[in-house]
Amino acid sequence: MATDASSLDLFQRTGAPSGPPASDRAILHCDLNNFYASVECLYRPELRDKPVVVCGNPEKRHGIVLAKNMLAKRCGIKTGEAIWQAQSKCPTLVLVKPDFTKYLEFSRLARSVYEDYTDKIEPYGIDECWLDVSGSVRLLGGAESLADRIRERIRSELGVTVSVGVSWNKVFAKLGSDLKKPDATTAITRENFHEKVWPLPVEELLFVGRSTSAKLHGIGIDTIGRLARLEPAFLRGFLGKWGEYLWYFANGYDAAPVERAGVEVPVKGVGNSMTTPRDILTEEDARIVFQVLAESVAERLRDHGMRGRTVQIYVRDTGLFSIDRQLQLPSPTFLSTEICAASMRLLLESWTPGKSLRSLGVRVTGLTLPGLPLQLSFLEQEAARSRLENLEGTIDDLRRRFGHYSVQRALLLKDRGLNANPIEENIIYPCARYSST
Amino acid sequence: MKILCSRDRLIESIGTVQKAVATRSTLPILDGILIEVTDRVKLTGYDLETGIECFVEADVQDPGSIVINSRIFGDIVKKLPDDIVEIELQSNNAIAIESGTTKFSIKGIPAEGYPRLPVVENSAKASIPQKALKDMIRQTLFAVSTDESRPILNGSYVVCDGTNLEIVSIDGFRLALRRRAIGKDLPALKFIVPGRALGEVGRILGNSDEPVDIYPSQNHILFDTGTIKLVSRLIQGDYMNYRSIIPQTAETSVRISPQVMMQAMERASLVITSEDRRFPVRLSMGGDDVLVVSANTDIGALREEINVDMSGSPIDIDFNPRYFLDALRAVDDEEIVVSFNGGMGPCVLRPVEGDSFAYLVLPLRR
Repeated sequence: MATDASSLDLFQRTGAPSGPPASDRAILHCDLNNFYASVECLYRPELRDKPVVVCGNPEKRHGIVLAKNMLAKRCGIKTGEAIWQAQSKCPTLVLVKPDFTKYLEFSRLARSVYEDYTDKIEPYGIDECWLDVSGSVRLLGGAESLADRIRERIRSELGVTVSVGVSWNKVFAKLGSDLKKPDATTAITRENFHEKVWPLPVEELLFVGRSTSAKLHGIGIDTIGRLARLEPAFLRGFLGKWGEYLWYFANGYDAAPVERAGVEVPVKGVGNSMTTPRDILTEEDARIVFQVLAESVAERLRDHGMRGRTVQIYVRDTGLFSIDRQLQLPSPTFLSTEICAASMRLLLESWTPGKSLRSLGVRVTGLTLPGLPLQLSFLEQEAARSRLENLEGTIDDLRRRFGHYSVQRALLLKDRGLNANPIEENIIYPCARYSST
Repeated sequence: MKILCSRDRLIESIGTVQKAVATRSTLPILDGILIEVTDRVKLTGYDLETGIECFVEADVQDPGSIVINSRIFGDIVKKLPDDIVEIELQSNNAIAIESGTTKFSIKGIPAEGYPRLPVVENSAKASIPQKALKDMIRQTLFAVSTDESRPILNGSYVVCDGTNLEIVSIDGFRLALRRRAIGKDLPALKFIVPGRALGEVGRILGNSDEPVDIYPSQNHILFDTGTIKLVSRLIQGDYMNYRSIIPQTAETSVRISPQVMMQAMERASLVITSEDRRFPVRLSMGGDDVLVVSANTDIGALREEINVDMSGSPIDIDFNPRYFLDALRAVDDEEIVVSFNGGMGPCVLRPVEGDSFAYLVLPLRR
């Protein structure tokens, strides 16, 4: 998803390596299996015994695989590959367009099942959640049977399946949910984690990404167990602060709490990008796209009650070569007008109209805390700025009531093909995009 | 080139010119100090924006000139064992530095490559008591902007109308203005001096009534104390029309001791730990003639009541306490008038009588 959640928060509360606490927590990680594809198959039963992928629209050049069902998986199709690659692996592949309102609804339904067991629910993407059920295990006869009950209810009430990992910490619970799929419960305990977790490839561990994994393999650390037996001080030197955290995780010393439902992890930046249906050639094309993106970013900033000082752009040309540029604004903003102007300034510093571009992105970071007052300046037209803020806020209200396209800038009428509503129409990537599968 | 001089005098002079020596310059000669020996000894540091020349008392035995790396020269002289230092230029640009039984030999760079300081040609000079200028600089420099997107505001505006000297700094969020009667028949001047150079001027000035001579020209300005000369580039352009942003009326006025207000702001700052998070300090009224200073942040809260003499409409305005603290620290008066102009207008700190200063602080918009 485009909004960054601070994953660092997880690290800061990592427990010190000491003996097991008096009473261990019971943490579940619930992962809805093949989420988008499962939901689609539910609505179209005729697809159930066919290989299915949910993918973007190739005509709008969003043609990558977002999710696949078990049959498609068996053909070797991977999330994130281009449609033509998938089709070459499986000629009978059924392509389905994503319907994010449906997925968000199912995500909410699954969550309402989880809420019957705990209020400590931390979503991780659209299809995964951590649940701290420490308070309810004794009532419901142990964490594993509670996990089984959740699986049973999701299957019968929603018609999709969920894999559940059970452990005393978040990292191992997540690992557990990945071990057996679909519709399975895997418990990782203090007694069995040496046998279950340590032989796994090191990249299975949460936060071991592509580059960390390559570095670790480079020194012969190919399993989680080997990572766990290294000296933490060595890992700190080798990978920096992250290295030490990974050592904690590999040994199960993860005390990060499951963030209570409703408590949002602090947002660090808000951004949107768009691969346009046709190439961007002129300054006006770029301005249209940036205006669309800036409006979406600005609206989301206003929803969070935050303003940002740094505007970043992302530009990708038709040769798939991309650059990032950024600048600091004199004062924090959530105005689309200012974000768009800054984006254009950045773009024109490194692009000559005429050279065709394929994607543009806008991102605002350096955010102020929500609700905090804004320093006035002699250099800004503060009264005009305040009026502009009211105007854009009013447009948000109008769009909420009458739909996004009810109010549009005249500029966007010049080429309706480039217009879009990123907030509702954008692709929401399932969490799997970030893991190695 | 050969001289004999006092180590401590030399340390002092090196320290003075080092302020203008470039650091990490692409031109190695700019990392150096120029030593020029005629009938006296002159040290020069120049980073192409600010140049400082300083004369050192010395026994000149042989004239000449050389450039020596500033950091090495300074570090060596500080560690010399004896109070008397002998510096001699030898062959191949080697510089011998001798003191007691210690003898260094350091590579120098020929002086011919050292850039000339701009020559400021101007007959119109203004002589100002050093302490007066030093104080005025200290009392306004903090409000100079460091945001490089508006170069005009990276300097202080210095205006002389013949009798009064005025220095103004604005960083966009606040303004600092000092005004002082300096003398009679001074030339009319106005120029914008880079904040960094003005800071150095403040440092080289003494706390005496000895004059410093100021010679402005089109592009440069020279400050001359007799023993030290400082030349700086001037910032070109029109300064902001600051008179138009100083409100002449007030919705609310408070008479208060700046020390009391400063202490309250300092206490409020204790719960405002992080600068970038912009937690405000709130100024409001707690009944007749009671000013309430309060802060409410992620780590805790403070509330403090100050008895003041207050008139006008009630207030409830958020501010960045740092801006108040900088201004309050620059005020020596027993009592000042703080006037407010609603939630969007600037707050102004003024003397009870006269117009010797005005500090403006813009509020935070809720």
